[in-house]
Amino acid sequence: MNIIYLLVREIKYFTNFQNKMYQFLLFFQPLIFLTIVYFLQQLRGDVNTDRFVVASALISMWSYVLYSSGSSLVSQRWNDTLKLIIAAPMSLFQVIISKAFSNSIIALITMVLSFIYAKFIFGFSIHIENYYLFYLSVLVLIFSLCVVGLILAIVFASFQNVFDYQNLIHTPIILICGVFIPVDQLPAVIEYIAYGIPMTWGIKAVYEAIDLNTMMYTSMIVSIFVSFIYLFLAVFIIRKMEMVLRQHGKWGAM
Amino acid sequence: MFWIHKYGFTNLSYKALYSFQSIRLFILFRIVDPVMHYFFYATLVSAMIGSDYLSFVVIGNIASYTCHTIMINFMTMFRFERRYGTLELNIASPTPTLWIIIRKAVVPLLDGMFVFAIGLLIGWVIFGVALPLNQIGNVFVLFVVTLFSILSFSLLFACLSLLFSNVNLFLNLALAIFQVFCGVNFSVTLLPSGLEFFARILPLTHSIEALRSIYGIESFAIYPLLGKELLIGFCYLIVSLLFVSVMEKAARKRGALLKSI
Amino acid sequence: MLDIVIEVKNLTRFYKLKEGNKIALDNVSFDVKQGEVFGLLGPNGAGKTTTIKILTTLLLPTAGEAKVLGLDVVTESQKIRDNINFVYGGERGVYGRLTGKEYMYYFCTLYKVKHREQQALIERLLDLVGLKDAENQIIHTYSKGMIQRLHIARSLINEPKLLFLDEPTIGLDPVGAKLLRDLVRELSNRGITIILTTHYMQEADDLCDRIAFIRDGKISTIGEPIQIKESCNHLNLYEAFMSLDQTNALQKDKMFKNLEVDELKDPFVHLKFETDSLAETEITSYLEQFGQVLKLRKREISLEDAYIYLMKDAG
Ligand SMILES: Nc1ncnc2c1ncn2[C@@H]1O[C@H](COP(=O)(O)OP(=O)(O)O)[C@@H](O)[C@H]1O
Ligand SMILES: [Mg+2]
Repeated sequence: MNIIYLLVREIKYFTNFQNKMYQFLLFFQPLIFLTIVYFLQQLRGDVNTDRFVVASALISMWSYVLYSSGSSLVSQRWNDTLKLIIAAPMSLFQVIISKAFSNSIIALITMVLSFIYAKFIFGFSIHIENYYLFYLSVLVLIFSLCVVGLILAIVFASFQNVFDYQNLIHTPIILICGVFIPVDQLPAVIEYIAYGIPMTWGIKAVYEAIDLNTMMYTSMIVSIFVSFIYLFLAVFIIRKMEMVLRQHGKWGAM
Repeated sequence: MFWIHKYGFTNLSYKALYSFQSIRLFILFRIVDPVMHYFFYATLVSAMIGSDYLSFVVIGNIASYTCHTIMINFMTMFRFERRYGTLELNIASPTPTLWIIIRKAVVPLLDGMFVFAIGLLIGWVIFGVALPLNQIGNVFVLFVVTLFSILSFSLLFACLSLLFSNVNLFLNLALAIFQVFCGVNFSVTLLPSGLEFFARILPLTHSIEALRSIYGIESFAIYPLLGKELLIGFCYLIVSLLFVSVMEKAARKRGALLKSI
Repeated sequence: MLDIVIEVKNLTRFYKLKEGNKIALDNVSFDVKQGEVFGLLGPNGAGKTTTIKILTTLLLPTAGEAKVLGLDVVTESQKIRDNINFVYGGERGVYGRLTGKEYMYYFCTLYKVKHREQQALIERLLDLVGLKDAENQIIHTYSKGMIQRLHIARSLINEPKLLFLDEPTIGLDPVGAKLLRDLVRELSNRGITIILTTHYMQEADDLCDRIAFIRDGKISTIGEPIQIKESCNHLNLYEAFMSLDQTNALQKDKMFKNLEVDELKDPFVHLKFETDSLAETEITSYLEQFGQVLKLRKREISLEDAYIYLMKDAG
């Protein structure tokens, strides 16, 4: 129960909508992307815009997760909380996962916004055959985003110099995870890398759920499976981090 | 004035305020990052309307990425300047504020020049958009004109940033507007007429059309376009000049220059 | 030598806040004479920095008049800036990635020093402030005191007639502060008029030829430190060393005004207090009820005493 309480508190108190960067990512970025899509599709009559409305949502969700979860452990605010955490009975894992999870839930906002913008500003019609399956696939995606956020938080906190390259990770992930072009059409090497990222499967599942492609169940199961592997890995690493933390009282010891 | 020597203003400004101080960072953020940026739009467009349109988008994005580089870094320098509390010291010196701002622009301009050249090279090598070598002269003229108009526009921004405590959202929005309305990914003629008019008073719009014409992707007359770009640049410059003096007075009145971030 | 270089008349400055206007300076008037070290003394938020900012033309007054070197701060700011310079205390205002020498070059260019004169000037100034050995070190590695001295070197680039120092010793360790005070004296000896703000009384007493007490945007007293102290000569200030039995009882006692108890090694204490009329023998016998008086003497009035006394009157 603790973790649910923590999650609610996290969303209520720590989501900083005043942060200009977050405002931009959550509210404006989908608008801009959809505008570009809107004018591009005029160049060819038969573009299937569904895919690009979803792409808009995916890009903003990923950006938000990258910049919020990714820096959740490194950020200044955290440093003060850190001392409390070391003293509190709550495990470090619970704290981090509730952050990562709350951020992926916030990321849902931008998905909803993308659909609203698409429908009411740009007049795109969106064909979702079965909403329940679509929601299910989105849940799977959220879980994978949450795990990715968790991993990013750990990596950025452990290697300060990797954090400097946060911006560099943003676009490549969009390109290799199949947001625009299905992963199986990418060069073989990249394809294999992509399959190792939980989000790839979540994204695949979402696209397949829209078309009622029968592969979707497989994709969802694989996505959950891959996410769990990373989750266990994360639990293990965080335990280790916590030990180091209690010994040295600071990050960066790895 | 602008010669780079060890204790010269340009070199010291770079060293004191610029984010990319190592070769590694420079390669990552000046070569890898633009490549990714071009790939992003190239992939989007290929997925949507096919690869015929690729060169159109790549050229547009080379120009727009150059513009991003210059504007972001120009503004970042001023942000650092305020964070360090050195802005006041600069402004209190006998060198006129506008002149200081212009001289500080040299660093991002050089950076932009690099990004532009590398961009054309990347376009050639990775995306097969061959630079017409007999047009090098025109490309150079275009580059100078574009730099001028972007710089004039950035000046406005720099002045604004002296008054407000946070211009980041503002800057992000402006860059996004450039990406949408300057004909980077699609021709501005597709825009509704009101928006097209808006697009045509932004810097960069005409430059991008001219650059595509140089590459033979569009077929406009190059020099009239560059003439318009130059004119737009001048307008922004004049507005900035007025703005600098207004801003300086306002800052003295409000004590806002003294605020730190 | 008694020319007036700064003339401030009824100077007032508001800051606009959401909750309404805040008066930072309220009808302030004073003069500064050429060659003197003039101290503005007051607690945090008194209006010291605001005064300095107005005089250095970085901020406009809301009302009143201020002239620096006979020039108006509002209309003739450029001419004033050519002849003055300023240093704000604290670690801000430097480019941490540059070396001390590079920092000086940067400002030499901004101050339009001729190219071939830059090197000699920089060497001379860094030598004067004692940073010659650290000139090639990155400023990040400087101590607070070194940064402060670098600021002073920077402020001397345009050979100012007037130098404004806003809390120059804030946050410095005693050695750093002493180096800085020596430097200020040296500059004063070279004929530069110095306007200095501080909230350290001892420092003001040491350095300043004249002092103005400022609080809540108002100036209460202006004068030479000696005069100010003499004006408080009617105060009966005492100090005593005691071996104390009843610490609490003494601290609650209402007999003496402004009683301060410094606990030394138990049971010994050092007392400071003020009385209106009691004679020394009466004091001793009164104190004996709390313990044994080892020593009692009338204390010389320090600037701090005068400050506390005068500010109490003002408030
Ligand atoms: N930019 C500002 N905006 C609003 N109020 C200010 C500003 N600067 C100073 N103040 C207020 O004016 C008063 C005087 O400030 P200041 O001159 O900085 O005092 P001092 O330097 O003596 O500590 C303070 O109460 C302060 O809060
Ligand atoms: Mg102050």
